[in-house]
Amino acid sequence: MSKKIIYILLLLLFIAETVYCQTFTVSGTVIDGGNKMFLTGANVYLQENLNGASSDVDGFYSFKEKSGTYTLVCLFMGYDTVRQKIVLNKDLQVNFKLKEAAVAVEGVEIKVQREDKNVRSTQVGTIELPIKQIEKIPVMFGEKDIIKTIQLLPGIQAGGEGNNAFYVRGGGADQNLILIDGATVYNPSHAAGFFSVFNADVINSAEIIKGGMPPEYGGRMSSVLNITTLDGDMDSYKAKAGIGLLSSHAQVEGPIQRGKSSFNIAARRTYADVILRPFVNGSSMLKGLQCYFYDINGKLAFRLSENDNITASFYHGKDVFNFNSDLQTFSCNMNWQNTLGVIRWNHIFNKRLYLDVSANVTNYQLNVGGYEQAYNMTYSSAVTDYTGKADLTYSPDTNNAVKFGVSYTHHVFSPTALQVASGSTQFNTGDPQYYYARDIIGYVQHDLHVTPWLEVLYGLRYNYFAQTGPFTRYVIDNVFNMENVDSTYYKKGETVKAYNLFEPRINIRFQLAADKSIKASYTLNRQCLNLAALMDISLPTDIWLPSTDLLTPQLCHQFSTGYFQNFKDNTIETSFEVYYKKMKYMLDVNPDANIISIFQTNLDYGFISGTGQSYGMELFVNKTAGKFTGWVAYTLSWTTRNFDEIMNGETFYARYDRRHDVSIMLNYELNDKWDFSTVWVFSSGNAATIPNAFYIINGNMYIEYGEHNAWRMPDYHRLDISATWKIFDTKHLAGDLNFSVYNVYNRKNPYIVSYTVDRSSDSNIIKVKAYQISLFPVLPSVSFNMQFK
Amino acid sequence: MKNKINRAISRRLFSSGGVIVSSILIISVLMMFIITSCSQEIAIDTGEYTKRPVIEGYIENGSSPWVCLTYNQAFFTEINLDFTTPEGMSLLTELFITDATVFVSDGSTVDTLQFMIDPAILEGNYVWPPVKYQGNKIVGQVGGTYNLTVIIDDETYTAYTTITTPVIPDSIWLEYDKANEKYCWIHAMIQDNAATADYYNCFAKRLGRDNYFSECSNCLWDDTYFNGMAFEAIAYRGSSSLFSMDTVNAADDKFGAFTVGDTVQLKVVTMDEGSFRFWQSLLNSSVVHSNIDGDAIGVWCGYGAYYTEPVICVEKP
Repeated sequence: MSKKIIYILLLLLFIAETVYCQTFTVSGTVIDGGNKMFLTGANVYLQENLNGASSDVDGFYSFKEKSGTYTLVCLFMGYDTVRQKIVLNKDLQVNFKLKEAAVAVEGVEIKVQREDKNVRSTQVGTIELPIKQIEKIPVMFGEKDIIKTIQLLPGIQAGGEGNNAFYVRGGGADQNLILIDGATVYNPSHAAGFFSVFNADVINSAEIIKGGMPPEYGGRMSSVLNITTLDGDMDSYKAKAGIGLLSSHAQVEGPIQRGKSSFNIAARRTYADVILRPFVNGSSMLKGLQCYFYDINGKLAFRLSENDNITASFYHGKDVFNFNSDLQTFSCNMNWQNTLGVIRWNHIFNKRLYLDVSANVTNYQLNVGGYEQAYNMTYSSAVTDYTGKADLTYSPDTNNAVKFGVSYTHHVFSPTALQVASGSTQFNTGDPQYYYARDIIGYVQHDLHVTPWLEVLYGLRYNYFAQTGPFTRYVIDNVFNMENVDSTYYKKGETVKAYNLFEPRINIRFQLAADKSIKASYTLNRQCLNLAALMDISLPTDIWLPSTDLLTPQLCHQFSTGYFQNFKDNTIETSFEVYYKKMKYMLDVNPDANIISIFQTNLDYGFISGTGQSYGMELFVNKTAGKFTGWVAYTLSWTTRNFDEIMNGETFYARYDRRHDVSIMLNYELNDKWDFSTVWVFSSGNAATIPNAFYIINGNMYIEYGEHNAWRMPDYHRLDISATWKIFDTKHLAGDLNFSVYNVYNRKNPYIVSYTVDRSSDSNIIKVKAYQISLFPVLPSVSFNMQFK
Repeated sequence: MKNKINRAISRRLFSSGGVIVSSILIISVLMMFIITSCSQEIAIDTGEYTKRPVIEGYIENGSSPWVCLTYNQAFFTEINLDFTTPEGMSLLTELFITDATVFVSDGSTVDTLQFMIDPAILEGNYVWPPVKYQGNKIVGQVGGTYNLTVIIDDETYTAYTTITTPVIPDSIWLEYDKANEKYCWIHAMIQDNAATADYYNCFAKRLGRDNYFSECSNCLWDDTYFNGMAFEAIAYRGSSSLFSMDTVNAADDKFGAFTVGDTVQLKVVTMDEGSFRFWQSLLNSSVVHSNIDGDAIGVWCGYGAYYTEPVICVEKP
């Protein structure tokens, strides 16, 4: 009898344990209760154990938890936090409609439980930037710029004064994968790098991954900048407009069919040349100058059902730079443009399975013309991608989330199309060169919660990359003569060279406590697209080339680890990270190559391959809530390169090797009318190659250069401030004035060093002098922004 | 005289295929000009440099060979061109190599070049180079190959060059500046030989104004892009030598253009590949391809030269 009782008790205990251990799915969507737009990055979690998930670009979240009674919290910056009691004894679907947070009463700080992604995410080196934070940062000429903001983060360096190129952990500017709604942006710069192509009026979210890149991303070695654009308001019509000293912008959004579909259109246009025209006198160097850019973003969103959404987004931006003056013997023009379109469909099969399918086309094109009397040339370069991709997310239980996907891209590169004429002589510069490539991707990644304190995100990315015909491979005598001595023709679709590339990735998180964790990652990245820079500074004239039979795909091993801790209810995030990168098959221009003759043979003969390494540490302290917010970022790093053809293979510093890099961004909301912010940046000088001798030939001076990148430019530092005055904010209309001052203390930061030979007409003494050219002095600006609600 | 290096850089960029880079540079410079706040002189420690001889020698059809020997100089070296001063005199030994042995051979005759100093050096009105080694036994012949040997401090440097067949322009005419017809450029139509690889350059001298032929801008070409075609070369007036002590330019001269009233003689030259590669790399590449064997900078250059009849820059009809 007693045995039976024991058996029954054991059976009951087993059943109880089974019931107790049973897990269920909590899933749903998070949308803006006002405009019905999906909210990306909202944190949905259980208050009791902080288990949860962030909403993706479609507002969808999903996670697993053991049965029980919990408080489900949905939190998103700028919105009221929602708490909801749930009894988890079956799979639950909980959809959130968040209301925008009321304006804080002066002197009262609303404290809320903040998200803890900093310590809970497995990914090392990943930072999300809310658009509201981007909007507060002081900017040049009042133009908000996401890349200028990214350059303030640890491990990310600016290319130089006003330059939109960014360099992540010692990688090149071409090693950043820049995406708008999943489509690649090949040139993210307007005005030769002084502005970015991203219009802040339409940005929904921005995420930068600089280490521990999960397998779903690839094709670049250093980072991913993933930007999503806003869906239009599905409930009411809204508009924004802004007028600045150099540019204006406008944005309109609203429902096509209320609650079911929407549109969102935004445009910008600069008019610096028009503003300057009255100040340009008849003999000015600037006479005949035309310089502007414009861009247009558009997005259509359709909510077909609870489980199906379709979006179509497009972007077109163009820069125009013309110079044609009757005072000069030369004229020139240059324009470049990005155009891309994306169609996405996402479907929720069930609480465990989520599908995202998209197709996109992206095109980047450059045209240059130069004319000097009867001598003229035109030059163009382009890259076009056609991509189809599908990603499937499967979450079978609490401890597992699997994502896998495939994609196919057809690349068409036209790196050079050159026409030159001298008077009546039209030069035979050969046919335009085209390079075609197939790019097939397959990946799988598994996010595994091994124990409550150990999480592993691991996976494998496979990349089949093939250069295909039609293509003529020339054999040349040597890289200086570049004379074709033989050739092989590959017909359309024929494989010239194929690469099978496997890229393992792993991220590990050790949760030390609720507010602290240690993370580590190893990633192997391959890159089959290369940006060939003709000049030391990053310009739109840089040429994109695929990996070919001569150019092996670039390779990067990256190890990184870090300690992450949050303070004060996650309102202060801190991190300390170290990294080491070993890179192979990096590309540079062959110093020995004859660029004159290269247009008659294959362009890839003009490049050399080498290795590089980078290592360093990053500190980041970020206060995310309260009236006073901001961050301090510090990076200590070393970046070197080795090329057999440069300095006989000896190690030299990369151009963007910087020992110290500091960024401080502070924002203070004084009241509901005034908002102040400031940015201070400091960075060690860039490495540069400078002349160390001259010689005289034919009565002229010629330069001999010293060791490669052995000299350092002076240090760079700058202070910017900005104040925003919300002039009025009514039910239907809001307006603000933004005052900003760039380079407050007028620091003459180095842009380039130039040399002139000084010999006055009455002197017999010749002397070379070095001059530091600085671009921007103290620059105040004001812009007015208006919003129709 | 200022910005000589900049001009040299501009010139190199505008030669041949460098047009792309030149346009990029122009655009970049213009954009920088728009937003440039200032430039300030800075001091730079350039570090050590390797002292090397610079050999510059020429032979052309109808002329005897000559060679100028100098040393490269630290980048910020100050050069006093007044050789009547102690500083100028010291230049003679610091810049010029005066104790070398130089000889040229055509296979049968050896011409030992004699060291000589231009007497005008003391009057401050000389043409570069004021110091050179001059031959007198060998006169260049079209098709001839000439070997150069230079011995400096027991180090021997050798090179060879060939005088190629000169080319005679089919026609020459003027093009006037649209903005101001007071200025013009000279066009020359040249027929390239399809059967050979040909290399060209052009020099100009304003008779009565210039003391020497200066290299025209934008005229260094090989026939890669116009092999066998009639090629329209445009002679832009080259800049004066920085080191020549003559001032023949007028205040209203326009950079790169001739002025109505000038009488201009062109010197159209062809050269062999080794010579061309040196000049081309000097202008377009970061690695200079010398045709001299040994650790020296420079060129031993043979020119097949044709001197045109004087071209009078008349007013536009």
